[in-house]
Amino acid sequence: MTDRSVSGWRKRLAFLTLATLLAAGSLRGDTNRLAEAVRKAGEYYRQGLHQEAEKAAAEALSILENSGGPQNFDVAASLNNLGSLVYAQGDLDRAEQLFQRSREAYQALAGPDDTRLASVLYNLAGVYVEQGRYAQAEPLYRSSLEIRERALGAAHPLVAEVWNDLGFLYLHEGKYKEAEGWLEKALGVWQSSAGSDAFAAVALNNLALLRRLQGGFDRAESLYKRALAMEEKNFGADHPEVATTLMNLAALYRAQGRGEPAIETSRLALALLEKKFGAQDPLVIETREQLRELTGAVETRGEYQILLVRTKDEAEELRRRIEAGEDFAALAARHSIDPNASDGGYFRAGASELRQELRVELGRLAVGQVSAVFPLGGNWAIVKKISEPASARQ
Amino acid sequence: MTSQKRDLRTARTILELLVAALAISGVALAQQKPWHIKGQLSEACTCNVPCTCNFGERPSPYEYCYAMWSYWVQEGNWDQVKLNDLRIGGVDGPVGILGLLDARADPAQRTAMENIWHLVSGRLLCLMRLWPFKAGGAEPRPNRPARQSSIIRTRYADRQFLGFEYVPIEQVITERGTRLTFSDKGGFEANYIFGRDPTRPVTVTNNVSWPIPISIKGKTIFFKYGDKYNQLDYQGTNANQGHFDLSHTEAGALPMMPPN
Repeated sequence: MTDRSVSGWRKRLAFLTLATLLAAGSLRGDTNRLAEAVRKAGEYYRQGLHQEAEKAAAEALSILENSGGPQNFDVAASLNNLGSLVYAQGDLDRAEQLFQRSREAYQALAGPDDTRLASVLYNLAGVYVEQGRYAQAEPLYRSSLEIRERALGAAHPLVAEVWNDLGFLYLHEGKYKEAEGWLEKALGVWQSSAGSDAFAAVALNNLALLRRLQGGFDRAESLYKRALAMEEKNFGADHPEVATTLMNLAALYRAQGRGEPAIETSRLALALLEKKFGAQDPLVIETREQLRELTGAVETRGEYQILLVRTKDEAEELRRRIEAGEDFAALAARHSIDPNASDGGYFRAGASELRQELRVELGRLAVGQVSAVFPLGGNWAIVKKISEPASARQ
Repeated sequence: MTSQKRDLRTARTILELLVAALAISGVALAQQKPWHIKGQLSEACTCNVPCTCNFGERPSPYEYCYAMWSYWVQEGNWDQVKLNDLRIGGVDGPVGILGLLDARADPAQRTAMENIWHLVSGRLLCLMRLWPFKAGGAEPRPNRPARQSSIIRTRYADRQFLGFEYVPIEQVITERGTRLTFSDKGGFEANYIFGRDPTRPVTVTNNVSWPIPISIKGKTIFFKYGDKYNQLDYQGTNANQGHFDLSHTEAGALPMMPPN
């Protein structure tokens, strides 16, 4: 026997020992504690309290992982659900890890044809899409689609969900013909499925952008208006989801050079969002910025500093040191992985040049203020505002 | 000692530890424990007669399908624990799914029934999914990651598991119908459906919603239940009655729930 094979045997045995010890107990006495954690996670989720929901979901996962037993499927589900809650808060890297673990668990427990596995693959693909890793997302969507089509038939709303996202993916890759086919199919199924109006509105938004990019402005406008009608019917006229479609419609008007309807529609969206989320919400700040641009304020550049590191812990530690009086620029020069590190993290930019997350964080800051730690493109950032752009001072 | 011998010795030590761990804990892997239950399932739901879910269709006349059920274990065991004459039931309502188990069970039987409940009566957790991607108004750029413009990030097929309660369960099965009662919480009573042959009730085979090979179709006289979570009050709805025979190798179909 070679050293390598002995080592592999040892690892397998060690794993087996650990798995046995973990699984040796069942959920005795923990079932109701688990149910309570799951119930709380659901309640917080419904209230939009994602951080609290995440804590409860993490507790459920911990109870399950420490008990083993026949609920192994629930460990896999818990990993997925925790991943979803982390995703909802913008931590894509952690979401990816959790979805990967859930995927591995379902593959081991249920095999390759399980509809639960299809859902996890769908979720993981979504993370890759938001990370711009389209080449990795596409095969996951395809696998998810195969499983669902086989299990549920082609005309099922969950199959349409994958068609829509594949269409969205191709739209962003500039493959308009492929995008059109998938989006039309998704729309068809959702329109004919009871209770799927909110999803049909999603597909209509995607098709509207496609038409706009193909130069079909009138068609795009009509699709956005259909989406609005569906969302108003489904969510209510003052729901913020309606505002997101209004913003899309405003962008279309702007692309057509129709200033007045663009401003009017943006104002409507902003009013809905402010009413629901308050003035300091990231989406409200972003919409306000868009409205400013539309109303003709000349964009000038603001001055900022950024400190970017790989882990949240490192970022939190540096944030504490800044608060304790250490120099931002010196810390940025020493620790930041951003290209501006050698200038103490200093950079100038107009609002339209900033990534959305940065624009949102900077929008919250007064001159001289330093932000809290926040996720940025898979890393963790702290920013400081040195000066406002001129348009924001108006 | 050579490296190979050292590695072999380590491997042997781990193997011994593994055996010791099993011996000390006194239990094998929980999911590998053999179990077997057989008896009578009584179930009713809020769907029309005959239940559209049986035929691969969505629930009707409502978008939902709430249910009450009980597995009357006439003969059964979880490993060495006997479960004869105990009932493993539940209610699935608008707020979630509550396990309702036979109050006569002792602690070992309760653990056994809870484990079996999870295997045959419902899933503890439904899967959260990402909300389908909705494009924003900006023109996509190949070098910039796509962005979800919907404010809704995730969706949750919200079938919450609400825990277990131990209650007296009465399950009466006659030649003409069935009645299930969960203590003072309520239950249902159903008459079997007879077609042109008044001697034999209508049955459905290959029933995918419940793990009974032959289901006698019934229609509820009342379907009424109330606890701190769920309140249900219907009548004239679908019911199923049939013999089940389930084990660790054949846990059977799950009740109708939203697919993940």
